[in-house]
Amino acid sequence: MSKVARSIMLLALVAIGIFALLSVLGAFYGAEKAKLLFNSIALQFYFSGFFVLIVTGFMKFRSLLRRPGLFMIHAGCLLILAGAMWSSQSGHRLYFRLSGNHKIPKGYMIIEEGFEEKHLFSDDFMQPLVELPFTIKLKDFRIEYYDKPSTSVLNIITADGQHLQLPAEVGQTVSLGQGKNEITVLRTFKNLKVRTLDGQRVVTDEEGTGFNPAVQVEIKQPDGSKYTRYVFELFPDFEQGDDALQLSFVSHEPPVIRDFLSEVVVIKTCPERSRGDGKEILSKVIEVNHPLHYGGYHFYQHSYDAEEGKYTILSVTSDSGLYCVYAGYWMLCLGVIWHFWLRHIASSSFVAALLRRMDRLKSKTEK
Amino acid sequence: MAIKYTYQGLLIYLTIAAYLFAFVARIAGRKPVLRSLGEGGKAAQILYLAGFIVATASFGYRWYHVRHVPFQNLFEVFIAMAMAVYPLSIFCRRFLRVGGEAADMLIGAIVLVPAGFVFHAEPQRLPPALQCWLFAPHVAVYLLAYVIMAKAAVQALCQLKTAGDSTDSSLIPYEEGTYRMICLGFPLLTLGLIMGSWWGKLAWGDYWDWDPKELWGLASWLVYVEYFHVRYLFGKRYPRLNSSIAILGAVVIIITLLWVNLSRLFSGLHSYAT
Repeated sequence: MSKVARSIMLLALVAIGIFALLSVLGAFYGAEKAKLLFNSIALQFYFSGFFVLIVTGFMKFRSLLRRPGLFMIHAGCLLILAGAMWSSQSGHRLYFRLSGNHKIPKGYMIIEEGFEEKHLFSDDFMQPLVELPFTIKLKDFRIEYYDKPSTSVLNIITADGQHLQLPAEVGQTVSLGQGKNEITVLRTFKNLKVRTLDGQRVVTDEEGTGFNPAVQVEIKQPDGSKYTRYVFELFPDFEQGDDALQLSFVSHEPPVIRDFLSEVVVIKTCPERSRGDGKEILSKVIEVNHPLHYGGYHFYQHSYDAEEGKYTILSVTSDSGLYCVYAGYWMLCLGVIWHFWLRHIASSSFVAALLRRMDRLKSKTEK
Repeated sequence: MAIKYTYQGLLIYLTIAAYLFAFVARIAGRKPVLRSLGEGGKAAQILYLAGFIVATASFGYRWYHVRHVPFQNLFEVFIAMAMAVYPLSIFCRRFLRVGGEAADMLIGAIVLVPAGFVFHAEPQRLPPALQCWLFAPHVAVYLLAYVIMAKAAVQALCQLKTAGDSTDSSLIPYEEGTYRMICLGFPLLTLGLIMGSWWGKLAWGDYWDWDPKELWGLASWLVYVEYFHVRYLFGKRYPRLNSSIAILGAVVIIITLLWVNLSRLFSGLHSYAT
């Protein structure tokens, strides 16, 4: 190996070692600080140097060009580095200077059901970052839950300290003893809400928009008079009453969310394109792992209105440089699989060894 | 520490016992008296196979119980690792001429100890982010890579300890064994890293989020990249250096797998996997 080639290899060893140490340091810092560290000017120079080092390696080491596996591994790393630089904040700024198209790496959208939005905001939603040439309308937002087992119970402690348990199902009744109260379950709620309609308070069950399990019970007194009480799982001290009955409600575990779904449509609004203006051109249900891709951006289900389920929050990321990174991923994967596995399998010595072993096994079984 | 009085717990304890007895039989089989009879080796093989069968039953039972591929948390991943040890052992001896079965038996038992006594076994529903086709292959390639790299570290330790060839003439020297194991595991490590990145893009919007788990995963990948470059530059001239890097890689993997998930120091996107 020539002195120059040896120096390049030693430099590569140092560069890889530094990268590994920086990764460990970044892990101790946490994601936010690590992001700042790896996007700092110093490390942008470092990654540029890394890029140049790999390119120099191609020029000095013929084996990197002759061996397809090694070529794909190193070319894959180059593509990933190039794609990462392109998709960074600095890459987007450079793209803006060169093309005049203003794209941002990441932003957020908050959209209410039935409304449209075309601005991307910063993560605190205080500052609009960019206006898109189309709008996103939220038709519907919903949360899907896993099925829950029916194990809700109403716990009762009577004035004389007696403990009773009643399945919290409509119609279930328990008598507290002769000449004492009788308790009947009238209604169960997964998410009890109180609304005012025409000046009157109405109790409703708004399932899927929040979590406030409760049960309405009727208490029949020995003299035949009846009254109702609401028992809340999350607010056990609410409306305990003066009947010396302690009631508590235990529904199942909090429901486990299976999926968040934002049903959206893309509406073209460019003023110069009057034909497509205001028309719905694409509809999609955005779920976790199933983003919408349109207009150079990916739209992801990020958050939602936990109280009422009336709005959704989408995170929006630019696709600049992404396909360069993906191409690098494919090359790197194919390269390592070819270089470390397939070329050995394809080599005659391995196949011969395999055949010898099979012959040996065959002769053993014949004996 | 708590004993699991469940069928799942029973299967885990049976696997630990089978692997441990296999290990003891293997070590005892090396004694001259037993070696001449050939009994220790045979008993070890039978016990090892029995441990694998029970480990597979344990994995299958868990799958049936949770109704999804049981790779969601460390408890499930460790059960899968214990199952992967046996076929990898056989494959490495037969096709790569790399030994270390006794160590594999011990690794199989050791990874099940936290699953049997420490980790919680309550079945959990898959959160939305884990409902992706990349979930099973991403975890599967990583757990296979980790078992293989653990085998590489054992070979490297043997190289450091004996500084020479294996006592078994049918096996290759330890330094070469370390290299072959890393060659087998490195593509899996690469696939795991890239599938994780791709999945991150699908689920969270970023193919790289500088999360502690991602960074430790990258650090372990880079340690093995360093290993290949050192071995290319110096060849087998400094076998102790090569072995030390292989062991360092395994240490970083242990941190990636355990410390990052169990320590509050590294809370991040992967914290649910405890």
